[in-house]
Amino acid sequence: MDIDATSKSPVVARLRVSGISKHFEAVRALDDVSFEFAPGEIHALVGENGAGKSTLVGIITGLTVPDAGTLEINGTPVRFRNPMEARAGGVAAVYQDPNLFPHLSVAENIFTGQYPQTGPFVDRNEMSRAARAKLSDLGFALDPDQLVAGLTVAEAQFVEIARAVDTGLQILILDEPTSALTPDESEKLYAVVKKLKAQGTTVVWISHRMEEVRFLADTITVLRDGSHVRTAPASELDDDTMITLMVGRSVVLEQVARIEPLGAARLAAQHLSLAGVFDDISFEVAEGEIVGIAGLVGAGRSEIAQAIFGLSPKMTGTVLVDGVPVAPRSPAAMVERGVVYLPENRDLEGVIASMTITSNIALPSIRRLNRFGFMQARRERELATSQRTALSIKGRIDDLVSSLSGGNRQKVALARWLATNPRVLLLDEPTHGIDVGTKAQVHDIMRDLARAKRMAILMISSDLPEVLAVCDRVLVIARGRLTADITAAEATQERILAAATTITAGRGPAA
Amino acid sequence: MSGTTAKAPLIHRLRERAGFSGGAAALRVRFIGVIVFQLLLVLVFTALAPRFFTWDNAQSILFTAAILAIAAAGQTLVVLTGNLDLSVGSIMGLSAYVVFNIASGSPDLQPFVILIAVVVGVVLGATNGFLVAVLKIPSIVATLGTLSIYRGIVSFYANATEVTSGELPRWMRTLAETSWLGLSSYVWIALVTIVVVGTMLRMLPWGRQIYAYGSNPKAAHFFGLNSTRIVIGAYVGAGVIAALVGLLLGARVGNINSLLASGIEMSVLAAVVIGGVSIWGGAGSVYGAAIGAIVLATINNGLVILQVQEFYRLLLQGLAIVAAVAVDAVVQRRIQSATKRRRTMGADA
Amino acid sequence: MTRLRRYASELLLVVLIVLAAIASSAMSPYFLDPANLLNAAQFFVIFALMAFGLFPIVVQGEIDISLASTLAIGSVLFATLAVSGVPLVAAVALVLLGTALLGVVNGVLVGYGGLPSLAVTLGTLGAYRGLAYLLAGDAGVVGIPEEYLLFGATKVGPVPVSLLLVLAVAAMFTVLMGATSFGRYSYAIGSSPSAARMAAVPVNRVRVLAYALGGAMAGLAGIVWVSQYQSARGDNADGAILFVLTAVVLGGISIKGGSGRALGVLLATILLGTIQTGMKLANVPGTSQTLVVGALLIGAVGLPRVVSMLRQRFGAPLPSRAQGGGQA
Repeated sequence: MDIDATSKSPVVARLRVSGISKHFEAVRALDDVSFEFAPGEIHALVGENGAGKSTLVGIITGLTVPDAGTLEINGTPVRFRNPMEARAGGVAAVYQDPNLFPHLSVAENIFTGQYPQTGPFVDRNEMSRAARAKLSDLGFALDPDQLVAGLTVAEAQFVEIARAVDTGLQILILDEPTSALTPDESEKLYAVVKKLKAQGTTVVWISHRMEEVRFLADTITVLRDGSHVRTAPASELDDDTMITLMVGRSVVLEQVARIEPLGAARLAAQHLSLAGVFDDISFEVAEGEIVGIAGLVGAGRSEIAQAIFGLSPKMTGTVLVDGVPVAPRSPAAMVERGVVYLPENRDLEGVIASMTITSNIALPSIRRLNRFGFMQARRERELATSQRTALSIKGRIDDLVSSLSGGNRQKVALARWLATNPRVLLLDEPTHGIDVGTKAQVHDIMRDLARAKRMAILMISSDLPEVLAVCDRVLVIARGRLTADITAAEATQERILAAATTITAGRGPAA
Repeated sequence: MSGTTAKAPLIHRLRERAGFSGGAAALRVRFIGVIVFQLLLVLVFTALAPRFFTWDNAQSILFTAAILAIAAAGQTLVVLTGNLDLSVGSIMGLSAYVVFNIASGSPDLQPFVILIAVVVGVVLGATNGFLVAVLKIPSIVATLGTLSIYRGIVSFYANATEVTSGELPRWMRTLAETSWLGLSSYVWIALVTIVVVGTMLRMLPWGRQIYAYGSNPKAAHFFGLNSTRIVIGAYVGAGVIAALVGLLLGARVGNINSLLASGIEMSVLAAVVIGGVSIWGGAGSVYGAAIGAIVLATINNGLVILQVQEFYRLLLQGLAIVAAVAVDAVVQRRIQSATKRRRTMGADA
Repeated sequence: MTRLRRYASELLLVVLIVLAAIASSAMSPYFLDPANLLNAAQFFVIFALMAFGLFPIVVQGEIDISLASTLAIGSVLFATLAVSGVPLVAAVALVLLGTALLGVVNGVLVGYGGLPSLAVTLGTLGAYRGLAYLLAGDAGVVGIPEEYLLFGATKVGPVPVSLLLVLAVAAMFTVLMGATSFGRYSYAIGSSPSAARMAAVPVNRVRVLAYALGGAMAGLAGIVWVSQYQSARGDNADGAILFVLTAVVLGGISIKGGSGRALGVLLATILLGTIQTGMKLANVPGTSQTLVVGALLIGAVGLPRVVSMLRQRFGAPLPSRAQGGGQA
């Protein structure tokens, strides 16, 4: 086997990724990604939302089949068809949402499918003992006979890690492991990871928290828009360089200058709080303005928008529409006030794929179109036709939405709300997974809606160039708090990302 | 900075340490709840009618509960996987009929009656399992269908003739009548069955896999557990147990016509659900189901003693199911929230 | 042509009805006698009414197995009111209101309470049945005055009133599900509850309405029962849910929700009725008839699955256009 002349060390790579590509519908999630993970190192994988990290992890662990490319573990080519095979091959991953059995004990979760046995019976004592040993080996003080349902999120995560750790574990992938942990709990996790490294396991650490990456990683790999950007020792990359590599793009979206003046505040949020999700969010969106909300996945942006839309009655704080306070008790109540929400999950929540374009577009407006309680097919079709023209939807109005492309589905999702003549549009990742051409169209539509039709638009987006090109102002949410409220002129991608990843001073690994 | 743990009141920390917080507590409380409910029932009925609290009466209750408890043990297997088996009554009837027919027709097969019943149970149970696990027909639909198909087969077979237990092997007939230590043999059989099934569920890998699958089917799939095998296995188990109960019923009742055990499914399900076996799967045990059977038998007995109309039993049974499911819904939410909760905000708020 | 394709499952049902009729008349010469036919048809009115009551609930992706018990309460209630001399119109209104309320209980537990509909209606199936027994007492209710039996023997020309009632109800549900917001909301909820909620559909309220409607239809069926049998007992229609559920599923209403038409329910009921009448005339025992219905239920749900499994195995692409399912 040839040793690559450009590889940094003569030692065989623990995991070599070569030419991995994967696309979903119109979007290229990974494009010819190649790099290596060295044995016994902590290797950080960084990149924005949508950079391809999760897809890569899915391919490595056998959840997804790549379109092209190969994987080699310790020099041997491997192809995993499912996570179990990956586990057998020494590759394990721990995700943000625990993959555990809450009704069962910690010990049972650790040994699922591989119960220690005496004869045909499960040896519970041995299972408990072995689990306890595993846990203490890693430095976790957990009662193995405790039910997982009674654990904290951190403890659940520890159980998953304990489950993954086995003799023969080559690679442990941790996806955003500290996103839900307190600093104390994070400390414990750092200790475990260091221990694993000392034992020779390669730990892949996926995180947005710069100070963590800096503290832990030996090597850092930056992905951007599905492509591999750089793999380098941590000492060679400082924070600024990392961020630049994460965002730097050659594609620049056009910014169309605004001539129309802004009006009064159309949507005002004051001290919005939802326990455990977001805290003290206050901002305003003026008539004719497009405000972007940037931040990392899980920061709480969608939750804020959904709460304003009336999906979270427990939210406290005040919402004002055109100066009038409204109580976001239900979506119907908010639609009544002219506030509409376009969900992030287009296929599951934004449209009803098994119904026609007409039915989808008319759905929120049925009551209005009814005469004496009966639907008017003619009026519905007129509505659908006019929206189709206005938004250039490709498809006949009697077609099922499931037959449309992602971009056109999004237009249908948008059309259903535009048909209600809203005043405030809450858009959640409106151009996620859409081809470039349709993206531009959607941006034009948004500008028209805001500037000509005087709507107030709040757009959640993880696409930084999009945010900069389309928005007049940018809000940044980090861990449930508003960390920045700046005009587009002042905003740069680096500044936004820095605000998104910043945690208030004083918290961070006690080095 | 130690985050929320420092701020949480002492009592909460103690509760967490003792495993009595959130989802784990909910499960424990649920089981204890049934026991408490049973004790309450006994208290109430005794207060209303002192006759209730006699050994004789207890025997009677236990006897009624016995058959139900055995059937409930079988149903528990299925409900643990998140499914239902409405065909148990029909399986009982069909198995009883087939066995007694064969036994009376060919005396040399008499030693094998149990085996024949088991075979019948396996076949019928496997069919149920196939429909649910392979064809992915919702279990309510599948077992509602097999309920009538199996019952129909009985009458086909029987052509409306009866079989009397006079043709049964002698030892079966005597078993049905015997009592040991003051309790009917059926009570002892029930006890043994429950312990056996409970031990299997607790100590065999297959049993643990049933719980795992019921607790989180997605994770089960992720860890390579074969869901088809688990579900079919549960239905086969339920089928075998139902078939054996059919034998017991037949031996006791004396003659078997095609209507044997018709309509028993409601009571079996009620026992299971009341006993804490959650309809969502993954929670509960055969011991809980057994207590559920005792609860039902107690209610029945108490109502008779109080000379209340028999019809209240159905009403109470139905209400108990709704109440049990509502409670289980709360428990389920607690359990899920314990591991799905992702704190967006830091705990240093 | 696309019109025809959309109604494919209903056309199939018509074909099957014709086949079943041919088979039945082959088995017994009495089958085709018009008087006999009308008589036999009356037997299935009750099931048809319950099937229509179940229809919107299944479209919404839920289930209600307590309808037969609600029917029992409805019949006993109506009989009791009749015997007590309550005016006909008031009696009917009270029964419909009462049974609708029973449905509301189910709807609230499922919609606002978020409890699984199977478990809830399993409980109310028993509870309502018990209630029915209680109200009816041991002997049931008999001796109902003539004027309350309007759905029994009364005819309009040659056609029994009860059959006309079924046609009227069928028409009502066709309009309800096809042309009102309730119908559209129901299909939306059945297709995707989360998307429906996001589209500001009042999901919980619509669910409660469907269950209330189901209860009311069961109550109506109870009134017809009293007319036909001149009595009411607690065990009325025990076990009818099998036939009713089969009729709904056979009628093309997907058990997962989101599709199906009232016409399909009507045709499926006719089909099942034809098959069952044929069996009765051929002296097939009752439990065997039930066997056939059970087999049809499993077949109706299982066959499409087998077909799509085979399709997947052999790689044929699934159609992207609606075929027969969906709203008119």
